[in-house]
Amino acid sequence: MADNGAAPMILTEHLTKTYPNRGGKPIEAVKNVNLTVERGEIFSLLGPNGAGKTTTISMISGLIKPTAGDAFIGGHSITREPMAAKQLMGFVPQEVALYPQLSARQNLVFFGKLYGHYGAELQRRVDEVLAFIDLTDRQKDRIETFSGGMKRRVNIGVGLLHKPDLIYMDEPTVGIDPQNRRRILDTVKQLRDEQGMTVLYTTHMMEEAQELSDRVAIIDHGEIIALGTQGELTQQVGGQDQLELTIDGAGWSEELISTLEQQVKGVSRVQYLPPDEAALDGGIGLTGKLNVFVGQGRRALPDVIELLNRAGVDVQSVKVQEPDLEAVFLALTGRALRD
Amino acid sequence: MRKIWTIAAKDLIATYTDRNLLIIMLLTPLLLSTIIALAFGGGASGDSAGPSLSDIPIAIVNQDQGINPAGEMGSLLPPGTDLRGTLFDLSLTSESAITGTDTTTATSSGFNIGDVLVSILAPDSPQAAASTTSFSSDNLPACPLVAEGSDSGYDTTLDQLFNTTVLTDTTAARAGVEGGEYAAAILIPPDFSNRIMPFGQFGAADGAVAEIAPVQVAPVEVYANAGMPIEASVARAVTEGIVGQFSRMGLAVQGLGDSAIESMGPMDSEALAEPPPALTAPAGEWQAFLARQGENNAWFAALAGLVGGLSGGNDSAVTDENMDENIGDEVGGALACLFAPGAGSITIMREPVNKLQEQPRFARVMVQVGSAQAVFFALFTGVFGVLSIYDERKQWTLQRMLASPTSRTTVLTGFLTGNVVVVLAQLALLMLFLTGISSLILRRPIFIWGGPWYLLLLLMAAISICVAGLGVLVVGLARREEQVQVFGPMVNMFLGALGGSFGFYVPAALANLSLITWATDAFRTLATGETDIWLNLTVLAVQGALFFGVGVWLFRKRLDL
Repeated sequence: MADNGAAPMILTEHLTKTYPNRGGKPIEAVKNVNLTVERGEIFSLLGPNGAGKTTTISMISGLIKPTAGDAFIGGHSITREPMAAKQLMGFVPQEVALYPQLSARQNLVFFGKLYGHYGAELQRRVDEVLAFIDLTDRQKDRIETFSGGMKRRVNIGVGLLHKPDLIYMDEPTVGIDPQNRRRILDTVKQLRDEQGMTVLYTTHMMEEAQELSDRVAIIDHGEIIALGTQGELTQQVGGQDQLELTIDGAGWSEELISTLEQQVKGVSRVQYLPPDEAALDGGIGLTGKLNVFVGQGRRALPDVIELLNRAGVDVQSVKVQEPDLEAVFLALTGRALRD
Repeated sequence: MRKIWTIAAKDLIATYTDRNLLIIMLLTPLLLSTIIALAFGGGASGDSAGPSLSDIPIAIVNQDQGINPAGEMGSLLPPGTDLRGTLFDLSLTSESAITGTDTTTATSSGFNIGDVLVSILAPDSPQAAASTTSFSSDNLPACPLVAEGSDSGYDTTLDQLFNTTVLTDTTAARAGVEGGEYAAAILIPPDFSNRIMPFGQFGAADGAVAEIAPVQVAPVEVYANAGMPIEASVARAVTEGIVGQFSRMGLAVQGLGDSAIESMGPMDSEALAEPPPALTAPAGEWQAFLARQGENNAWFAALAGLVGGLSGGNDSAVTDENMDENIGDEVGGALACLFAPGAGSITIMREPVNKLQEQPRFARVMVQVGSAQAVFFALFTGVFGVLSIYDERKQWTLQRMLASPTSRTTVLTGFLTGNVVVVLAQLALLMLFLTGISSLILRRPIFIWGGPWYLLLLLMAAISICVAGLGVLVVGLARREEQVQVFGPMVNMFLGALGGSFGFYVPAALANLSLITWATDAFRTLATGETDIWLNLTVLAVQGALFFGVGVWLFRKRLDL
């Protein structure tokens, strides 16, 4: 039952889930997933809806049996030693998995008992968790009377009750207001930073993955298509900054494209949209739009503006667009995350 | 084990803190039972003092046209010997005739067993007084319903048991029952005597040897008041007991007649040594005549024996040994039983009658109606309790349980245990509330369910297992939740209809298919002070085990996610 401290928190080996399909080819929901999640890190599984995130997390948490492969939690196989593996993890599903007719405290006590906690120790843990999720004053109220954000907090609280080494959070911010979302994201960071907990976080929200994650795995059609830190991922796809400049179309000449490419360091490509095309791309009136693709956007920006000024081109606005996970996903799949 | 109880307790708390569920599970059956019990069992003003069963209001309608047995028997005599109306009067006039004191004159040429029944059940009525067969209450010994020396201490006689109204119109009698005026109406059909007494159906063959038609079951109808089921069942049992004695007597007479006719053989009409007495002659003169004839003529000796035998007299002047033995043991015994119904089948009522006397009518109806409603509504809790596994899966609480270090077997066992506990609590609460309501309405504390408490608990546990098992089976059989939503209530309604939850009753063979029948019968038995519910408990437990066994086997796949 004890945690094997030397083993990674999560290790999956060729994890595969296939569902039979009557009269057709079997559906491969998860294909040969190999992951290693180290202790104390926030690891995000990023992908669009239907990519296989929940199926993967369901296999890792022992809810469904893998068709092939295995997952190890703190060194315990989820298929051969499920009780030992489950004791190490807390589970926060996407849905608010609580009994609405029971109070917050009753829900916590119930699930606490299923993790083997009873008596005074359980009551103490419940008090701690209620304080952590800031719901001590509402502990006796039924869940059905809570707001969406409060329910989400209790949902997380249940997962934390037995002080697990690892906590799974499956899209925990779905459907809540920005204020509660911010609160949950802060809680996740707090779990890692203050309690040394390992967090496996699934989301289709690129911003959340970027903000929280030490490492990210991007999953699509049941396969891991990229894995690493955010920087590693953008480097993998050759990510460049993009300078978007709004300029007065009257002073523009096609020669400036080659001048910029040759004279400003790191510029790989320059694209000009005249006023009529720029209008289609959000431009106003006689202004044109100039896109400059460059390795270090902020560093190159002064040189670009000086060169344009010297050529008599009036720069009206500037925006620096750095490469992100959305861009990575786009580059890898040709689709946006939210498609 | 601890986790199993944790899951079961969660279901119990979740169910009994849900206001909507409580309305369906408790309030609805309580309201229904109370309304029905008030409608049919009277209220505080009706019988709060707890009327005794000694005053059961019944109506009796005698349509019996009787028979003229003498006319039939006369056909046995040679042509020209007009004994019609006389022979049979001799046999059924009075004890004085039987003992040969020769003081009683025949008063009628007909015989009406319906009148006898009226005389017994309504001894003070004018109809009884005018009964042609003169079974007046004065002639009836005080018949205890139980044999002397019984430890029940119950000594009510038929006189005290019933408050009988004699009517002439069956429609009025039925209306009186439907209006709640009578617990039952006893309707005696026109051919009652004819069916009971075989000599009403003599069939002469060749004018010499006759055959007696078989005795038939007499179809006396007991039209019962569903709102007074206990009183009606007492009236029915008493009536059946008495009619049963009549039938036995008829059978005895049939046997006697058969053997007599066989032994008499063809009559020698030339042997009639003297003319018969006048038709109006005293009975003793007739018996003496027959005896004299019998001295020289075996046929008349046998006839005299038959006549004497019908009058039940062991002291008959006729000395034929075979005839006398038949008369004494069969006919006389059957007639004697008429006047001591306690010695017959009525004795089966002695304990219930004793205990039921202590219960007001409202409480008795409440036991019947309340238990049927309680079990019927428990069926819904059983089915929809198991069905809630679909809700648990939808709201991901099932997944959350399975993601904890808790085995699937533990989760399933806890879930099913919870369902049994929820049903058990529902039954226990309904029983308590129903007895509380009865106490309020009757304005005195009363526990309507009888006892003992351990049998009540055993019974409720057996019902809970059966009901929850049925729920598992129904959910296990259905492939989708929607199927259970349709199929579950259908099964419950069917069982409710068979089990009498809707106020009508089906034949016992069908009713016994419903667990509600076994449950309500057991509750009723306990309420009457009886404790013999082991068959009911066995049937319920075996059904429950079967339901659970098959149901769990089908149901376990519902935990696959």
